[in-house]
Amino acid sequence: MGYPQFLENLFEDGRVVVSEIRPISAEELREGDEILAGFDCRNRLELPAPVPQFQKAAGRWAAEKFFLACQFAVYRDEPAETVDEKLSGSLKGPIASEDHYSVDLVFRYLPDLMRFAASAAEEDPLVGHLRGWAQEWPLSSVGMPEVKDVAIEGFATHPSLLQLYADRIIATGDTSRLSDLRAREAVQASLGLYPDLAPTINAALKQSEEVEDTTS
Amino acid sequence: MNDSPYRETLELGCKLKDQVLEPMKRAFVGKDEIIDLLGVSLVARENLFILGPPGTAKSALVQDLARRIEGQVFDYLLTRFTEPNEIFGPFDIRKLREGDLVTNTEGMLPEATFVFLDELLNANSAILNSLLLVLNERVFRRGRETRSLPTLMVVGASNRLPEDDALEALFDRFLLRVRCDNVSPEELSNVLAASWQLDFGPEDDGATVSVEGVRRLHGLLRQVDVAAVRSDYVELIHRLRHAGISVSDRRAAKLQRLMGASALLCGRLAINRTDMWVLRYIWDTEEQQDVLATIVKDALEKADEEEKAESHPRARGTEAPDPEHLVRSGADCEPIRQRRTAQERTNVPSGSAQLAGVSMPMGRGSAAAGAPRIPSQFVARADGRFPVNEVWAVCLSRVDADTLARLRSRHGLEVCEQQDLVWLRGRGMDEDLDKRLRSLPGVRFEVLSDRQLVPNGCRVPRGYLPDGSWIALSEAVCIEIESPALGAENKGKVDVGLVRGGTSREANLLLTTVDAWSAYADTAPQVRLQHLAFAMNEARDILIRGRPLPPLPGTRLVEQNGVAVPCGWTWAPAVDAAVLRDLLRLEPDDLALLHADGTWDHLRADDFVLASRSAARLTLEGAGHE
Repeated sequence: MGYPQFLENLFEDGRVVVSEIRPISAEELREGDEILAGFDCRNRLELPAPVPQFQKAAGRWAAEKFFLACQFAVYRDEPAETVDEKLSGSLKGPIASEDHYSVDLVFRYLPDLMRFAASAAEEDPLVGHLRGWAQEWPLSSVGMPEVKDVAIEGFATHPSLLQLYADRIIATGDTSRLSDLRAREAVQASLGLYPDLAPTINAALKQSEEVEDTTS
Repeated sequence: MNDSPYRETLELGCKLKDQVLEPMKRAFVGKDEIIDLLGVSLVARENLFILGPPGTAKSALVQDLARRIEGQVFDYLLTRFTEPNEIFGPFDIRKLREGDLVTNTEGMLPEATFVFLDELLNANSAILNSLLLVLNERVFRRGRETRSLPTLMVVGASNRLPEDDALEALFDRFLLRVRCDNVSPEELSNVLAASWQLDFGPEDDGATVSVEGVRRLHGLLRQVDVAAVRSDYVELIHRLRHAGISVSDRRAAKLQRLMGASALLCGRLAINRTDMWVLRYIWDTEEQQDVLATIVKDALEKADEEEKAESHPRARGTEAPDPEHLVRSGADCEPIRQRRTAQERTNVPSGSAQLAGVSMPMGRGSAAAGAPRIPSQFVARADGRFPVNEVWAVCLSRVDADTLARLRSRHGLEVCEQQDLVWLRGRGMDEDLDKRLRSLPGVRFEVLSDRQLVPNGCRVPRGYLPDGSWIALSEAVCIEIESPALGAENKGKVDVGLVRGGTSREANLLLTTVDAWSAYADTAPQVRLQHLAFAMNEARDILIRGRPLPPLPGTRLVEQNGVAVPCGWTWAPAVDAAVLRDLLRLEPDDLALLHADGTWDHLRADDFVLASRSAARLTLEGAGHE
């Protein structure tokens, strides 16, 4: 299964089969861009307004890296040097909110891939790279307990992405993300007068309030 | 055959059917087919695949069956990333330090007698081979470690059929396949009542068939004689193959075990032609189901009357319900409903169809007067706890005679009328009969050989059993469909209106505008949307249902049993909401909105969609807003 088919299956049913590792052709990249753009159109309907613009370069970077990471997760006889060489490097240029959104189109599946890779070998170099991405792209890594102290400056000023972040924190019960004041306020606003909708989160919010009262 | 050395084990088959599977059918409404297939799969030690959407009691059925025979269940939801540790257990760290690679299987699949794997077709390559071994050979193998499993049956469930080759191999290991859908709307209220009992009802007295008993049945399966039907079976397999249904030699051979299990459940040690009913459930695709049903039905029709008399309930056809079971379940749920009085009918709209009821014209029947007929065949408990030959009687007031309908399906019971009394008598006792007799509103007696009656708990006889005309209970109780026409003068309809008042309750419905709703949903947190559903009418009003409701302007309503009124209002006359539902002819999931101006809106369950940002946006688009 090639790169475009991989993306299509990932978005359609969340179940993928990967081909052997080979370079992605220009034609495949073009097809992949179209699939990403199509998924962006569908995904926008589900996001809180105002939805950021899709950035093709950021989306493609994330899709290529994720495809490779899935291949390395399956083809385990690839040497560690190759894994490092192919997965190293970050998205070039200044990172804007739109880039966080575009990368998240594919990286939202990062927690699943992390679980899969870590269950095979905890110390695999691949797992190290996935952990790095999780740290770098906090919007996508909500619900990964091993990721701590993330910086959300990249998207915290964007109301839609901050709401999406709060939605994910509530859905996964990831209380570690409440250490950031902006995230905490967004979660509190989401629950409003109905904290019982998320009892675990509510307990954590209360606890952090008590800590703040004590320190002040 | 019953005198054979296998008699005791053979009785276990009947017990499994009567005391485990039949009570399950009463607890799970509309699941008789699956329960019967669970039964044959259990006795044959085979695997069953259930195709159906979530929430249709697939897991609960397996859990309940296991509970009833005190088996241990391993119930797991497979995901694309499920790894072997999650199913078979992690490696034992202490032994690993000593250099041994041993799996700690405590509480995991290798120790379970019942295995339920939900979303079976999510199985990935990491667990596929190990699973295939479990399904095929009941063996667990990991590294050098190999052990036999105590697994009695594996039930796999999914809401789809396999599409790739690897999963085809997995699917192939499930000899029987059955659909499990939501029950029909007519049965939904029974499901709700039964599920209430299931969740909160009292525990049963204890297992009547144990895991050990099932293993004895497995042993007995080898003794079942298949010779009498072999030529018919071979012919059926050929017909299926010609019809394009793939039945490999391996599957054909294994299916004999399932036919043998059907025979054992009917108390037979020989397979007859009716046992070929199991072949209805070997489809690979949904399209094959009708083809199989037709071909298998032809084969079953060749069975003679003797074979049919001893057949499994599932062999009696898919279209026609089992008449014995119909009576039994009907009597259990609603013992003989009286016809409604004219007064009770006043609020029923003219011409509406009434439910079928059961009435009991006492004294009707063909039994000749004279010497009482005492039944000669009774079921006895193997442990002898209940007397096998003792004659007993129960005396009831005539007004309570309806309650006897619940015993109609028991063989060998007779009734006799005596002025304002009705007598029931029989010979022998078992646990089930004992329970049913205790629930009758009458006095129970032991009958001595000279027909003297000794009340239960007493030693001194008090009178004689009447010497009147005794007739079989099954003849005395008959089912009648009530006339759909009104049996009395129609007094006219009672107008229902809204008045101020009612109890204070939190609103769960909000009638608002499409613009307000879509503006809210556009930015609302997911957690506030996910508990809501909404519907839109032609006037572009939006009705939001659920709690907590969004803080939007509009009319808030409170719902009671599917009838909703604006907050601060209630209906008059103050009848039960169920009566209003009948009056408005609402289906079980329908919703009626009563307005203060005397009008009402009728919403069906499928008028509502789950609330989400996309649903709200697309609704707004559909409504022609920009």
